Amino acid sequence: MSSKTHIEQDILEAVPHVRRFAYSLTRNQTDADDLTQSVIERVLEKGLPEEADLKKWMFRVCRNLWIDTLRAAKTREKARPELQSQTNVSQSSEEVAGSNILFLKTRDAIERLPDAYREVLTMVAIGGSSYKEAAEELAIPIGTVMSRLGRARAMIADKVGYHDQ
Amino acid sequence: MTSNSPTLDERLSAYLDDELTDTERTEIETLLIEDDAAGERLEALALADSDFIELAEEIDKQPMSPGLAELVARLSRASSEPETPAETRFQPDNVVAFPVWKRAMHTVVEHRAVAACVMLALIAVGVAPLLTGGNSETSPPYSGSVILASSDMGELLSQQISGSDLTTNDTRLSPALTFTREDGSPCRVVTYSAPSLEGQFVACRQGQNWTVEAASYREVSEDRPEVDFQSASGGSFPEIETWLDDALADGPFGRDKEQVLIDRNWATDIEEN
Repeated sequence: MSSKTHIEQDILEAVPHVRRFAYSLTRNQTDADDLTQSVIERVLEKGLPEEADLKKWMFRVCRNLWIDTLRAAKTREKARPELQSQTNVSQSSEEVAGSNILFLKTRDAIERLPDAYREVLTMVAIGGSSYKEAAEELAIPIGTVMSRLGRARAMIADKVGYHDQ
Repeated sequence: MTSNSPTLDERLSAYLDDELTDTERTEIETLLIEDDAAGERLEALALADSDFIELAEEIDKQPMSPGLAELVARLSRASSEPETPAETRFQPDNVVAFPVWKRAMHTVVEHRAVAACVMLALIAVGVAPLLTGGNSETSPPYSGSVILASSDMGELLSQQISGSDLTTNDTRLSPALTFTREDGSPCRVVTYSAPSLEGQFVACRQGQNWTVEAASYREVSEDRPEVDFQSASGGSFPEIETWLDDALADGPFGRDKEQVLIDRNWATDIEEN
């Protein structure tokens, strides 16, 4: 399939994946949809490099746009109220089922990951990047990718306490 | 252990990602055999990874924001015009009226009151990732959704004659009739029937995919017979009937013409018979 001729179709195929990728980075549906929309528009406007894999390219654009947004401090400001409101909801109900508590603990643990850890975990776990690809993309050593991934997973596991349930 | 040596968590994490050398993998597997705590830790890290992915997939259950949904619908429409160069088919800044989308939106707005309880039901049952190819597509699609040809629901729409059905997870989907609307695009009315929800939707072909132009659902009363999968097919959805009254260019196709369309991958330039 020619990516030029069928770019709309290819983008449509990639949209759910990009949306998950964006959501994983932003933890906020509105921001994720805005980000996904921006990615599509950017790819349509600028095209993609020859030989580039569209989905991976969209992930890259997504991450770059997210970083731009982070730099502008907009995402943090928008995300905080939602996180806080979700946390408040969970704390205000003392009769939440055990499974819901676990879910909320998991969500909270993931929300609290440092951006650098969430970024690399998103690239590998959601985006399917290898360590080498992630290292090149982020311009960091492979060892750092490995370290951040290990710590990210460990932070989630320790906060949720899977074996304490 | 020096600060440069990977910690056990890092090695286990890399093991999960299949990023270890053969030697390192063998070392980890030996450790896992000998040390139950290492096994438990691996399991915890795997659960963390799984939860991280699962949380990202939560967004699949949420309808797209209006801006993104509109962009996707426009993209889908643009993809149905393969003879035109891509760069001229779709211009993101070219904000023009898209009658189909407008009409779908109009349908949504027009029936918002009717759909209010339906939307609650949709949220309750969850809306599957309609854009995802390959996964089971048993949740009800809503207006403006794009059903990819590669999804289960897309395959049903593209390849099955009216009267046949797809049953997954106690949900039955069955094309009920096929027609073309005024712009010549083929559309299909599909009956949706699940234990808790029943309804109909109209999906029209755009390129290789299908766009949901109208949808109507209602909760199923508890006293409905369990196997009554056909109850939604009796034309008892006035919103859909009204939509069809406006949209039908001609009458519904007969079975033979429907089969020809399927065989020709929905090319509509076939002679009427």
